[in-house]
Amino acid sequence: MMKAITFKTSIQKLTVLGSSALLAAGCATGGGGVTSDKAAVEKSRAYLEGLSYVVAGQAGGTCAQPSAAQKVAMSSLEGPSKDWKDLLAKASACAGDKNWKTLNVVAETLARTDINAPWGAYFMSVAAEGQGEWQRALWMVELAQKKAGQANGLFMYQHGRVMLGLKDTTRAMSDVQKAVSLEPKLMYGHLFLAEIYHRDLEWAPAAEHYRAVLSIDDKSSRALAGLAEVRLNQGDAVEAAALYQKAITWQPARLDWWLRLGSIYETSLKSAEQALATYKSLRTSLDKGDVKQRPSMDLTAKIKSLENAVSAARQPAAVAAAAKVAQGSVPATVKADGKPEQPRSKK
Amino acid sequence: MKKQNVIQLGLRLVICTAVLAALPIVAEAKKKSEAGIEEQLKMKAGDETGNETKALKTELLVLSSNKKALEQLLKLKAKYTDKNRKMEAEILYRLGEAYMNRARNERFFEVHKGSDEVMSFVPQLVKDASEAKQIRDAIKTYMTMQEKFPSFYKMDVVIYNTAYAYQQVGDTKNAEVQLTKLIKEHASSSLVPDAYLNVGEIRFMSRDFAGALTNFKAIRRFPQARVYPYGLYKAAWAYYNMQDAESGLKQLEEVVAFGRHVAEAKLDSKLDLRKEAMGDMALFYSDVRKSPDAVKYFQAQAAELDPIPFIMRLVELYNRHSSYKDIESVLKEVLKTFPDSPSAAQAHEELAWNYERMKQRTQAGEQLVAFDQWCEKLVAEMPKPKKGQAIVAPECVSKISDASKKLAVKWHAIWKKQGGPDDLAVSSEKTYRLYLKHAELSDVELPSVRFSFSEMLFARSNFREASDSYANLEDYLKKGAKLDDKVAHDAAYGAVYSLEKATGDKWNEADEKRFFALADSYVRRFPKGQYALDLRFKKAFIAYEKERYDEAAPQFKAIGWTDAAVVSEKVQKSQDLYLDILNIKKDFKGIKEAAKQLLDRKPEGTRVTAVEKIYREAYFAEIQQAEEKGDLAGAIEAYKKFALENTNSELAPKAWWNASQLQFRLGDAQGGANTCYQMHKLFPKSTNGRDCLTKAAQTFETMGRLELAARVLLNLALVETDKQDKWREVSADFFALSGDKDRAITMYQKLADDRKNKAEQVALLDKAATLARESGDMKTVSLIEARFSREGIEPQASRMIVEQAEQAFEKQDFTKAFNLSKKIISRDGLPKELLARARFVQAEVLADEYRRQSVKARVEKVGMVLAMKTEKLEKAQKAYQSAINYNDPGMSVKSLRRLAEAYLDYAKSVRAIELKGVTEADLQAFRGETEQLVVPMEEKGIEAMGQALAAAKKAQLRDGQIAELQMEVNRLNMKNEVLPAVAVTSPVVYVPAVMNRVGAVQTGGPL
Repeated sequence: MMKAITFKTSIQKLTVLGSSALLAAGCATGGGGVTSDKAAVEKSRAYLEGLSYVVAGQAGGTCAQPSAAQKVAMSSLEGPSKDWKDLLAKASACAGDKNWKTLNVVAETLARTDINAPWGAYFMSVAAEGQGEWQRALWMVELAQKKAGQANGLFMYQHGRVMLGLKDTTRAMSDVQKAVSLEPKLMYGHLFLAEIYHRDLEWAPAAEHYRAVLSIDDKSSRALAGLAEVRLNQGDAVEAAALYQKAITWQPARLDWWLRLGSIYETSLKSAEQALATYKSLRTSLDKGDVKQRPSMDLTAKIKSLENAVSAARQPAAVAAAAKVAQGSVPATVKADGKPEQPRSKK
Repeated sequence: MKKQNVIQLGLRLVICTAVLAALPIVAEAKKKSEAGIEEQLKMKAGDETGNETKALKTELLVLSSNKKALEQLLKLKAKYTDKNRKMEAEILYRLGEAYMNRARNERFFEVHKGSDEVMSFVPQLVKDASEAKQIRDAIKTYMTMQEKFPSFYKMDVVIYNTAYAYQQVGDTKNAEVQLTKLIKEHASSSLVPDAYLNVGEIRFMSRDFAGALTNFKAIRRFPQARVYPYGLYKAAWAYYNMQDAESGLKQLEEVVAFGRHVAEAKLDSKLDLRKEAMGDMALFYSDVRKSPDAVKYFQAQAAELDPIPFIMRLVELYNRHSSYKDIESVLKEVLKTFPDSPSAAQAHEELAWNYERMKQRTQAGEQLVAFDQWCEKLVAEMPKPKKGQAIVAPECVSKISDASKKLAVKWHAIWKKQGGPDDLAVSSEKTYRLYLKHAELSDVELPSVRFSFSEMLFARSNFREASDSYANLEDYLKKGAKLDDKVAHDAAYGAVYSLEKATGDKWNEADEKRFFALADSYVRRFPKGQYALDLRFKKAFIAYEKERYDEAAPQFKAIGWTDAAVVSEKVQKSQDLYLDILNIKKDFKGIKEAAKQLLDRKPEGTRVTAVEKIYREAYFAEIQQAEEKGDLAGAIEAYKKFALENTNSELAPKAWWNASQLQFRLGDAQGGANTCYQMHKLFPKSTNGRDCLTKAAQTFETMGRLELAARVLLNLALVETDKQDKWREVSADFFALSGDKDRAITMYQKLADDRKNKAEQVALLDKAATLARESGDMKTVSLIEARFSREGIEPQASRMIVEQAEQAFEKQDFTKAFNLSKKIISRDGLPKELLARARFVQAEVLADEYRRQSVKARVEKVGMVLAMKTEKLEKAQKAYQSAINYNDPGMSVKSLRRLAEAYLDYAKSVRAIELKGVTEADLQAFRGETEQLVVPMEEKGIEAMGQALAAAKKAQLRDGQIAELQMEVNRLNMKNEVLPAVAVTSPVVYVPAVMNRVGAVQTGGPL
């Protein structure tokens, strides 16, 4: 699902096509700017209310061609057509299936039957993007935005995705930033931003977006692990360890996280006991097969070394605190605002 | 002359009596002939052929009888000649008469030589006929008698008959000899006055009037003779011919006086020649007397006779001499003198005519009126007819009728010809009225005069009476009068047309009713008449003007469609008005169908255009009606059908436009847009074409159907020429966005060729090149780049050189790379990014040279080698620094990083120099000195790397460099901290999901 983006070449300045088309008030300008259009807002309102945005493939439904009646249906001028939701469901399913050809057919039908709805254009953008037609995808999402009549989080998000495809990461970040501010539940928008900032060593915004992800899905192990690294770089090894601990809870197969947690305990928190406990848990997971990858280090030697150290070591204050974490006397999770949160029972 | 005839008549009577007396056989035969033969031979009036046959039969009977008589006499002559003188003389006397009778037979056949009837019965008789021969035989017989029997007891008769026979064959000389012989040798004969008369006649005929007068005067000696008054009478004429009319007039007065005596004495009325004398008196009077005395003169001469006829004779003579004033004077005197005389009618009439001859037509008309009043009085005084008796109109009525008819018509004609004067028209009209007052249907001219009168009334703008008068002709016809077809036709039309003129086309109920009756009558009588169509039209038109459309419509329809073959403006007007009524009723379907029927008949050119226009407008309006009634789908179909069926109509593009707009209104946006797209192809000159195409493009664009919008825009570019460049470029953009990149590339190149603005041209070529590159169309890319180079288009041309330099460097062709970059650096006005890239290539080449500079050397050369290494580093450093100074963030970071690496490499290289063959102490000393060189260089390297990191952060280079640089800086600063690599996840696709009532996502299926 998720692709790593590489930036091998410099970003070429985009040539925007169709930008001179100013044929209709509701049409794409190509500039990507969003201007308010009250009429469009009114016309599209019914199409935008009562919806939630889900990751493609999680919306359910079946990808299918429009029915014969839908193919010849007139445009609904007074409001949504009777079939628009059906077409919307089909399009969403096709997007999940990456059946771009069928998606385009459904999208064209939707664009015709519900000419004031932004969804036909939106799905045409998705289909184009899926087929690598970035310019078309860009134009279509801008059309969708125009039809919405005002800034729309999802369409801004899609615009950012397309800009990313066009290798304009800066613009993509800007778009996604706007998108999540409009539509905070676009979790993958936050995750994208968090990871970019994280990679580029901008800890505060990275933490902010990781926490936003976790506020939506507290089981996001990527966010937990990411935030852990950010917090570690920000000097909060305790929280970092707690976050890694939670990340491993949800995704115990990640060997690198086990090792990172052990390292934090051992190096940052100087808690040989916690480090030892971590490595021992890793060894158990390895033994159970929960972790498939084998560590490059000598885990047994490490455990033995730590056992020796534990037995000989005194109990410094920081280590005591770590020990409390391990015993569950401090919060194991952290909220998006950075405040500790009491662990909840598993359902 | 009359005397001669009288004598001839007498002679014939004598001869016939004699012959009949001498021919008892013939008489007997006639008696014995079939009963009723006289009846059979009676002439019948009017039976010309039958009468001719009867005359022939009679003549044949007489001929047969005469021939038999002649044969008998010739036999008797042969028997008694020279044997019995008494008998011989008597037989010769009778034989002479018989020859004369035969001569008359011959004359009959000679006269009838030209008769087919007679010729067919007795051709030979006709052919052989010779009157002269018989007369000559008679003369010969009479002359034999004069020689052989001079003492014959009827010798005076024989001589007289001889003279007569000579006269018959034209031998007047011998005739006169015979007559003179009679006068001289038989002075006591009762035939002497006749002989004088005949000699006088012969002299008169030979214009020897004096000789003639002498002989005529000789008759005065025989007052008891039958020819006495005639001799006086002829003497008057001799005087007249001798230019002595006064003497002649006196002679005539004697004849009149003798006649009065004969009448008073009750003698033979044949001797009363007063009428003849008074008739001739007028002639003589006119020569020698004056007109004012005429009435009294003739009144005196006529005595108990009616003088008026003789005065009228004088009037006639005056008329011959154009003495109209004399006539007027005489006639006025007549009417004054004899006001109550029935004969005054003639004077009345003649006086009117005399005024006419004098061209005093007003007086003429007044005289006729006076005549009419006179006549009315006369009629009033007439005794009433008894029961069963026919009313006999006096002559004056017919005279008035006749004169007024002739004069009215004549004056009318003159008035028409001369165009005036008006009083002549007034007189004509009055006179017409006189005529019509008395005229009866028996007058065959009544209809034509009535017609002329009607024409006169019409011409004088008395339209209403003209109408009635014209209409009278139909009444005449109903009463049995015969009417000329043309007059009947023109009168029937005149009645209608006059009424129309009388009303001034303002129709009250009564006039309209009358008009309809007259028009119907015309149309019934003359269904194919010249004006039948016009009248039918007018009837319908009156109803139309009074807004009685239901009444007018079928009439117009009948004219306009049934009579469509007739070439008339009324037919066309009827069509137009019928269509107008349908239009008023908004019956557009009716208009359409009616107009179609007309078009099917293939009218002439201009009409076709007009009717087609109506047809199309109605067709169009009918569709609009359907549209107004809400049948939008039907209206769309109909508009399109209309447009396709009437492509050359100005309404066709409107229909097509309407169809498109209805489609849009109905929600068929794509259909509407398609219709608009087709509009340009079907109706390229349509005024709505631009709007329609714009709407189509907008619609397709709104629906995201860019491939369709692109096609529409191409057409819009043709229509909206002032924006054609813009629309073509957008069209190319849309083709590109729709996946038709090849077409877009071609279009961009073409657009670039057409643009004059360099910047726009370059922008278009850039688009083409970008698309071509994406499509892998490197041939096009090369072509465009070649064009950039050839035309020196910047920065594209320089960018290509930079890219070539970069490629050359990659291939380790450092010289080329360096030199190519050198070209760029020297150029002004290029983007910093390009200049930085070029300078960076140069720096890299110099850095490579620096790295290639070995530091391996013998001790004595170490210094020189280091100097060379250092010098090359400085060159590279300078180049990197130069690249950094262009302030392109990406290139600055890259240059700083590469510069840092060069510094660090220098430190590492110097530190790694190995000196062989030196002592440890020298080696230590060398290390100590080089450290002083290396450490600052290391510090510069670390510093430059830190600057690279800072610059990357500042520029927010989101390509991962920041993390890499940070790692390097950490390593250089001996920090062992390892930063885990962060893999950035591409944001996933989100889709909308409909929430159900409890806020859960509904999945799939119709909702």
